Amino acid sequence: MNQEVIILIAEDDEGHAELIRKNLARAGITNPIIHFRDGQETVNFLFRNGEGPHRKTGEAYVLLLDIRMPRMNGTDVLERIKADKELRKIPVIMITTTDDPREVERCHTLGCSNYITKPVEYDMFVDAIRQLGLFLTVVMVPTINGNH
Amino acid sequence: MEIFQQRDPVVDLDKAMMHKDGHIVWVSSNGFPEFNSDGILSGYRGSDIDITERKQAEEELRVSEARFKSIIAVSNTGAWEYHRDRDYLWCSPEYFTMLGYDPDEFTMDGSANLSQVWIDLIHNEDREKAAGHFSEYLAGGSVGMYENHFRMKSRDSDWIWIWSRGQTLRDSRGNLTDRTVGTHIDITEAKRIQALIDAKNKELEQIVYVASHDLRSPLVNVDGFSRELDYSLKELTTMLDGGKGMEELEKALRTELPDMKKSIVRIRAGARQMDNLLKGLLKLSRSGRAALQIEDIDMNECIGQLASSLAFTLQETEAELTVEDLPACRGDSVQVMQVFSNLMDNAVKYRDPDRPLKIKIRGAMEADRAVYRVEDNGMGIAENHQEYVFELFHRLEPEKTEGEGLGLTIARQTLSRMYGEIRVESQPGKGSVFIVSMPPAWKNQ
Repeated sequence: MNQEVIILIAEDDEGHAELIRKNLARAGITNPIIHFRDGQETVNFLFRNGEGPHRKTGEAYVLLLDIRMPRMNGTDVLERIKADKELRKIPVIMITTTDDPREVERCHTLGCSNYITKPVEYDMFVDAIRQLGLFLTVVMVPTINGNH
Repeated sequence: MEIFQQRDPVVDLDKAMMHKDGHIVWVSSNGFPEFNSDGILSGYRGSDIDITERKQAEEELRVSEARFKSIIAVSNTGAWEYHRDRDYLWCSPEYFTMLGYDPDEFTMDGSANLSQVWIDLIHNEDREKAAGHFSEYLAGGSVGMYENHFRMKSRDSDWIWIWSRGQTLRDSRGNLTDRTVGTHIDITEAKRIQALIDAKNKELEQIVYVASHDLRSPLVNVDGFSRELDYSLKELTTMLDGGKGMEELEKALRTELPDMKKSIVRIRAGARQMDNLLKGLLKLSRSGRAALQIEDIDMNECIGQLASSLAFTLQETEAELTVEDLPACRGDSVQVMQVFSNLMDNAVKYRDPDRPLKIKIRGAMEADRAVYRVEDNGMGIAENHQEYVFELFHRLEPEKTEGEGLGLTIARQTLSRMYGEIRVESQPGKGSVFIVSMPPAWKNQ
């Protein structure tokens, strides 16, 4: 299927979201981006709950997920996605400031595709984003069928 | 001198006599009475032996035993001696009194009693391991010291943590005997303090974790956007050095300058955020060190004062405050008022915009604790968020409300210093109840 993957960014910090966006662009990744400001918004979109935008059937998504967010944190979002038999196909990349091994372990157990620590060292950050770009092109992104 | 009257033989009659040079000599006398032909006692025939050394040894033994007993008594140590051949455990009175029992309640006649005096009294969760450990020590040839930790049930059904140590005795040739001697020491208080330290360490670990994350977050922005500035500068420099025309240069400037300005705004916001976090941490550390003045607190008076100082805010938000009769408690009145002021501020801050705010403060004595409930009909807190509200820098609606996310963290910390506790019960959309429990006042109980 030749379609453009939509990048979902769940990130409460506006600055971080903008840096991710700028660096995706710099690495040549121009996919459409949808930004959520907390876990609840993200879940509402994916599970088609409440107000705001909802996901569309037949689209392919990749989720860049922060952990510490208001209303619902990233691990809870990940847990809910992975518990759903359709949504669990979405590749989820954790992008977070914590490198606590227990946290990393928890996300991997829950089934995240990748875990990137937001480094303060900017070059490493760019590298991480580039890897992500590579990831986006290498991974076959499955489409989600029907209503979950 | 009954012996002389009864005309009996003298056997081992110990008496203290004064030596010619003044010191005491213990003498043991043995002798037979002798009678004259009329049957009248004429005297005794026998021997006196100097037993001063033996008497001294006996006296030393008596003193040493008394010393041993008093040390055992004052150190609150229970002594025991296990007789493997009979499965009998001899126990000193302290072994039982440290658990609140009367020693007479237990069989101590030399018959098998290990279950009654030890195993049956061990906590279910510790029994198998503790008893197993003792058996292993014996079965393994009693190498070195035996050491064990377990809980034993006291007369009041409390659990007393016991630290048991012992060693199997050897005979003069160094062979193991069937006797193992040891002691029991009550380490309940040490265990309690250990648990307290563990809890504090966990709290500290959490603070460091949260603080490092929350400080790192603005740092990512500061560093990231200064790199963005750098990119813009490089871009412009390349333009200049590349000898491009004025028109192109101006065009580049017009695109780069707003970006550069945005980057600077982000950098400064990041710096400000870090400053706030550091101030917050400092505040938390200060509140954890402030000297407390513990006294009985008339809570009706305290909450009355708070209500009048909040009157304006409450009127402005058209909130209704009901205060019922409150029991007195014990703590630092300034700190307790701070906690309740904080809870009421939160009720105002997180009120539901769709209905007028109602705050109700109630209190009652519950099992030796003064328990207060601050109830509101505000936004409420989702269940998965309730455990986080006491966490450092956690805020429910960071964009809609002001605050540094410290109030409840500090409230829990100050309360715990006064042996108080705080927890929350809440239903999203309905409201929250913050429950504060405090030690009761000493007077009027």
